[in-house]
Amino acid sequence: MRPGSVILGRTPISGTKGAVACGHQTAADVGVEIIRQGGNAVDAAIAGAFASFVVEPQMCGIGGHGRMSVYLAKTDKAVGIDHFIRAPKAATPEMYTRALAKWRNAGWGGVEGAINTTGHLSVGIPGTIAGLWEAHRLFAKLPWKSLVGPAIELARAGVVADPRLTASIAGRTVEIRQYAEAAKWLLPDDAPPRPANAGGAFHRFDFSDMARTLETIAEKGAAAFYDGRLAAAIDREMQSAGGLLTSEDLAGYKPDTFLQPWHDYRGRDYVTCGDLIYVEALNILERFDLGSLDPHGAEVRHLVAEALAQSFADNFAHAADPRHLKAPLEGLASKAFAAEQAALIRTEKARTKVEPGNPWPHQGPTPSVPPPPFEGTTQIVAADGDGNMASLITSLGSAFGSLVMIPGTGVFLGNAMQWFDPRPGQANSVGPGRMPLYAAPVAIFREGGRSIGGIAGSGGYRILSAILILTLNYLNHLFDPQQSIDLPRIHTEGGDLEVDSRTSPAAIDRLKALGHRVRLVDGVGLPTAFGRPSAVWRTADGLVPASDARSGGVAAF
Amino acid sequence: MIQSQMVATRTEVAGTRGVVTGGHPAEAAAGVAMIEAGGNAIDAVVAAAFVGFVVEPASCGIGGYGHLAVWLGKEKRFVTFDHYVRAPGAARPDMFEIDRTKPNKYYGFPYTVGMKAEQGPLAPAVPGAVAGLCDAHRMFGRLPLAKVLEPAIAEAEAGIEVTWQLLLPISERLAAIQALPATADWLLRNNLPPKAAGQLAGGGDRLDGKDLAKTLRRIAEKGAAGFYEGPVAEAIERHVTGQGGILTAADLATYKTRILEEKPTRYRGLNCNTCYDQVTYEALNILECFDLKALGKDSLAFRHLIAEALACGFIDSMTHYGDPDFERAPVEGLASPEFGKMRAQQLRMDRALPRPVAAADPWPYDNSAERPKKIANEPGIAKLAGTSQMASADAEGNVCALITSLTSGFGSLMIVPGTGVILNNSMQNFDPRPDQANRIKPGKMPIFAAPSLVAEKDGRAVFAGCGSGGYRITTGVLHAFLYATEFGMGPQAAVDAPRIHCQGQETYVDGRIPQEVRDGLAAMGHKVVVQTESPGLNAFGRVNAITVAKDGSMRAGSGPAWASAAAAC
Repeated sequence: MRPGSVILGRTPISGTKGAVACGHQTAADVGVEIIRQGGNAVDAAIAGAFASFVVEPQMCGIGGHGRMSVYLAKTDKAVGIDHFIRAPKAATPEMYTRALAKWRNAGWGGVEGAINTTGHLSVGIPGTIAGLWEAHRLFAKLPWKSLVGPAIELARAGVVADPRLTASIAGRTVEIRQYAEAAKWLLPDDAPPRPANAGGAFHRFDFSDMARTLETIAEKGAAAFYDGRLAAAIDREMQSAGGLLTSEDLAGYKPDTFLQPWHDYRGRDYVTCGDLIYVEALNILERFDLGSLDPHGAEVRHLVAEALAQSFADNFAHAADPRHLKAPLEGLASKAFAAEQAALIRTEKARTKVEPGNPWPHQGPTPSVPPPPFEGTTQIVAADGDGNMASLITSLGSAFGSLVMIPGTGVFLGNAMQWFDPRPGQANSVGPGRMPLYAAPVAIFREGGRSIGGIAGSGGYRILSAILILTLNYLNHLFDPQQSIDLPRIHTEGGDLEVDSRTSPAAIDRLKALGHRVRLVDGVGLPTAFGRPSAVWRTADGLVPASDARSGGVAAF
Repeated sequence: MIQSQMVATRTEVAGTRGVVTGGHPAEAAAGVAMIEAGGNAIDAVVAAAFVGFVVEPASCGIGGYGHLAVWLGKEKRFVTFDHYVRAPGAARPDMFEIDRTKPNKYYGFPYTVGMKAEQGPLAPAVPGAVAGLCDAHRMFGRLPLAKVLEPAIAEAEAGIEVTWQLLLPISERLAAIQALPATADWLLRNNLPPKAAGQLAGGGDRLDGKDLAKTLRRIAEKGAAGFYEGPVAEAIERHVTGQGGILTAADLATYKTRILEEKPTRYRGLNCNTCYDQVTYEALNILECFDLKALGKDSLAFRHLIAEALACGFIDSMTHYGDPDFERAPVEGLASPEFGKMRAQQLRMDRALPRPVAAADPWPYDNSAERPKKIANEPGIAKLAGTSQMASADAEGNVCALITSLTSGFGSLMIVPGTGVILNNSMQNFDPRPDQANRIKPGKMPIFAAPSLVAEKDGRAVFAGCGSGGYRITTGVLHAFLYATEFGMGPQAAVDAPRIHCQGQETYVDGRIPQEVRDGLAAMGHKVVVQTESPGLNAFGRVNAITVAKDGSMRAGSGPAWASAAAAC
């Protein structure tokens, strides 16, 4: 690393009965307390998620969405509960007009008026409560009410604006002003709240509306959100402002619960809850001996950048919700396809343009069918003493989601419609009931018939690079769980290569010489520019949780 | 349950030709560039400071002031450049109405009605930043001033990228900024906070630096006169008096740095110069009476003694300090080892002094013959060229420590049109009560209580420390000094390690200090308040430190890690 580089980390902790790593210390403490009370890893993840809705209101919430992987020690099986948004019934592939000027690094770019990221048309059918309810129904040990309880208490007490929260609000102030309900709450005195600091006065958010909503959900379960008064309020709000989401959409929402197929990386099995970008990148990288390369150097960064760019390109071109479109998902995940894609990577030169390959030949003879149903963005990773693990991403999309707040409920609706391709006729185009491409793995690793680690993260597409690099740091370079997260990362979706400015000048020069368009980014600022991952690994010391040092939380016992 | 704690540190910065630290990476880089260009530590610290005036506009500026301590390696002596603000000529002890409805400010003075000493046109005092730094450069720098200001001018020309560190103070004072059109025009976009780098994965908005570049070029050409005389001074007068303020061009023209040859205080064989900060002198004199090394840095006794020494230092200076050029104040008594010894004898190892700690009487220990020798400033007006913090060291043994400030974030929020000058709001550092030692008088400096500490042993400077963060500067610099010199920690570790802070009432304890120590403090009678550092919060201030080894090799540390920088060559 460059001399004088910041190193942020955490003192290690470990436990044998339970461990939680997530986006906020309070949520971690809540999760571990639930295990102490006799809950399992799934109980901990659910309770941690509810707590996060209060202490990280910019990151996640009742009106959001998520993804969860659960590993069950008793049966040695992994279940996915994909509770990402679905497009409302009235959504059409033509509902957005692509704005070329705002073309993103990779993916599908912006749309005119940014209506897919802000406001009522950016709202899909939220899946959060349905997903957590499903996880609880299938796997939990403790009553639902007791998992929502800690969040209700936190909400009643209110939340003090911390610098992260203030920065999130300041970053969207212009848009927030356009949404009276959100502005009323987020902009006390019409300005971002004063953060808590060493001595001065600070702002405490009133969460009493959300406390009441949580009480209803604790009492009545998911039906309180999808069928009751809340659903009606959402319908009203949408109708009044040109949104598409209806109470009928809400009543019809179901998460996608499935038995996960195991992928393999160098002798270890893992699941991702449907994300294949991570799978393809690992399949490509498996063909190189990363462990023999300097983990701080240019070579490993070059290979990771090329693999990421290729995997993004292939998935953006081909991945689609298999229930609605024929998609070569099996091909994308196959070793044979990865071998072809790996062969395109040259160790001595970066490609100027990464084109998607063709995974169809590696697809089985029958068109892709959804995996069998199972009988049954902040992030939370939980593990218990019985070997169960749960890995959850729970999100609102952008900070405070669509900025549409349901009056009197404390609920923000997410803006995940942005993850659809705004062009009609594409694999990832908008369609009623469809889930967009998420690009967010929630991974659980298994070795020798037991779980060895759970990983999740937040930060948009940077979840991918963050989680991939921490996996390589831990499995190939043998860094400890916390170091695996703390070390400087890179990110690319095929365009510029973002490199943490702490990286050694020699490695940066070498990456430039290889032909990468390097952009140096502060990797230790308050905005987590390279995502913020969390993981729990089973080591010789027991269960070791690790999280981003700036914002995350860890707890174990 | 074992709690995991955040670890925030930096990879080592070490050099043989020079080391420079600052509040921002561009400052450290500019300082090192001076050393590489053949300049010395004085050139480096001045270059770093001027870059700071551009890239840290919330923390410091040419409309601000500071404390600079210099150790001259060849001449083997200390020189202090006290370039604090002075009250304008029209200032009067009773110019502010005292607000009796509010409790006193945390440093013991009352607030003023309408917060007139804190904000608005009466808040700025005569800035000393440019005078102090130009004086230091003129007397001891090696490179031409124009060369030393080059990096700052380049940064100003390029504009200032908004970072999250800048976004927070903007958000914090948003309502006040929106009320001032010129300031809002410069800092805001659509009257709202600008976009910071890293938000939404892109670069930040840029604040325009053209006006400031113009003023910096004037200073590069004419020295301090470029600021204190002519169009810049006139623009300041117009802007301030136009709104009912009293700061005039004549006040600027007569500003003089206080250049001193202080008698350093002895601490365990080291000679310490704090840049005329009596709080730190007293705390060192008290702690000299205890064997801290034997107690151990993690011991309850060490934490207790630090809290007690700081409490005494603060309360005694707050009670008695007044600018000795203007007041009959026992300034030498406060700094005398005998007074410290008397204070030390009042301390008990098993019980804290009753809170709030009462002031002691330093008069019996005062000997005005011990007043520091004043070094004559050049006759007439200061001809050359002054809270962030910078420190520098070079291969000749020169070592500098600088604290440079605007008082509040963006000072008074008054930006002088066409000049890029942000004026300080330091009138609030005077006691508004007309019968106090720290009362307002024309030309007088208020109390600063911020040590720019340089320590010397056997003819070589071995340590430099400086910081920002209000009165937590004193705490931070004192801890870094003790960690480095008593406990042998490197400069980065010395800055990283947990601290406690006390001004005579609550005892603020870093959350990393173990529970049993906190409980122990509480049992002794300390009113313990736990604070935990996290990015965006500088709960215990930010501190820079430099150490110089016997072989001349230099190391630098700075922290907390998210708000400072260091570089070396």
